[in-house]
Amino acid sequence: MTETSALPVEELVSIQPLLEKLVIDPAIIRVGIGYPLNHSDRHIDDMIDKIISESRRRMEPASGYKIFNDLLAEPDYKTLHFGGLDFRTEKIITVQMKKAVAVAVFLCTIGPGMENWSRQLIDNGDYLKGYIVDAVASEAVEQAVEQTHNYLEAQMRELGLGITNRYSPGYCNWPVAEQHLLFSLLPPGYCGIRLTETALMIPIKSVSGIIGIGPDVKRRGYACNLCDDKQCIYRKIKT
Amino acid sequence: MDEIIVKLAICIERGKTNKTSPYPPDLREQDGADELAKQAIEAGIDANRILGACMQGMQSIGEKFAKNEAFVPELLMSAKAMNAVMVHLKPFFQSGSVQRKGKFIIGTVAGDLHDIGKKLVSMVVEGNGWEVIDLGVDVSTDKYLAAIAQHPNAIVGMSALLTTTMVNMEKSIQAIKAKYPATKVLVGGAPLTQDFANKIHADGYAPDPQAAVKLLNSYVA
Repeated sequence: MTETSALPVEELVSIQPLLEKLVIDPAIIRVGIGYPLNHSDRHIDDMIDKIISESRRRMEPASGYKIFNDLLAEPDYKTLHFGGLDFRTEKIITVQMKKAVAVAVFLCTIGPGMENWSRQLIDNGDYLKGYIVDAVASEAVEQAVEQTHNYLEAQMRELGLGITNRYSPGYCNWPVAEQHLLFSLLPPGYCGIRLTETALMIPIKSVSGIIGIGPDVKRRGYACNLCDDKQCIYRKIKT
Repeated sequence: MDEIIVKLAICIERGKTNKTSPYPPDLREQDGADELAKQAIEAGIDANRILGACMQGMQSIGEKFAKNEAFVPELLMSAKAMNAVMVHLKPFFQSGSVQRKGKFIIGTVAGDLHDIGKKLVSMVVEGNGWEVIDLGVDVSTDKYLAAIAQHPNAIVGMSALLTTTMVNMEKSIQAIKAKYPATKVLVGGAPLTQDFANKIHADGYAPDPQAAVKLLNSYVA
């Protein structure tokens, strides 16, 4: 039995992703900084290990979401309506959300510590170390979002509901400028994240997006095959 | 005398910044780019030849990178070694005894915070004898226009990493061409293609840092 009526609609659910669960795999960082799979260099590997072990004390993860139950996919599959607003999510995302009955708008960050550290290293001419710190931070915020996604999934499962993959402005042809609309659905400065005029999040290592909810939706694995962008950086990394 | 220059080019290519640098392991305890540049100046070697060693080292690593024989970390270590030399060459640039090939204004387009690809290009270009004016990330059209006004003969480079931000290049190029029709604009970044560069009327497309150097050099040849 599904319980869409029991959804915590328009309630802010704040979560603190657990630092001890942010386990960074050095192999992922090696690929992230541009090495081919299975490439190994002792000097670089040592540097990656040291940065990973120091990174935890520089992170302050925070996340949360708000559920809206007025989700509607327009028949042209280019627009999603939720929170009383229209979003130009374009075809790839809209099609994935068409069976959802509600949507969770989420934010997640690891705070400014890692990017400040990276910037400091680069400004002092230590480009490689700064670059590795940046790659570790990117992986950490992805894992923090994954924790948030898993939390939502567990909550919805109790109501007999499924969830979709997560989708963010700036990807799958959803204009990054729509961050402003998305952020208007959450309290100002929520999770310590603010937007610049050009729709960039500060701290940089933050993720925003939506996750569909409903009795007939499923979360799938990594889904580059859904997208038609053959030049996308993430497709290149994952393949 | 030539031995220092040869060694210097090797240190740049291999990313050996100074004597205390642990990398690369086979050059441990040996003088790096910093010490060799200092020795070269003290030995009275023409600063242009020292810059030439930088260009040779950066060109070698840039070519290896373009052929997937070297990777981003190696390029970053070379850039660090090159910067150690540039510190010693600064007075020669200021006095005008070392001439650069030209000026290159570079930035990541509005809405995009990705820095590293742009930084790699700027470092390889600088190592190849160009003065680089790095505008940073999330660069607005107005910021490009202001930089061109300040450096009228400069060539402009734009970088983007997202398909949703690369479209901002077109607006910036239109504005630049409207105000400064003679200014050449190069574009690059992972999601870009030559077709896209043609479509937005960029003068050139550089898929990697070495390609940017080749394009820039072709404009001053």
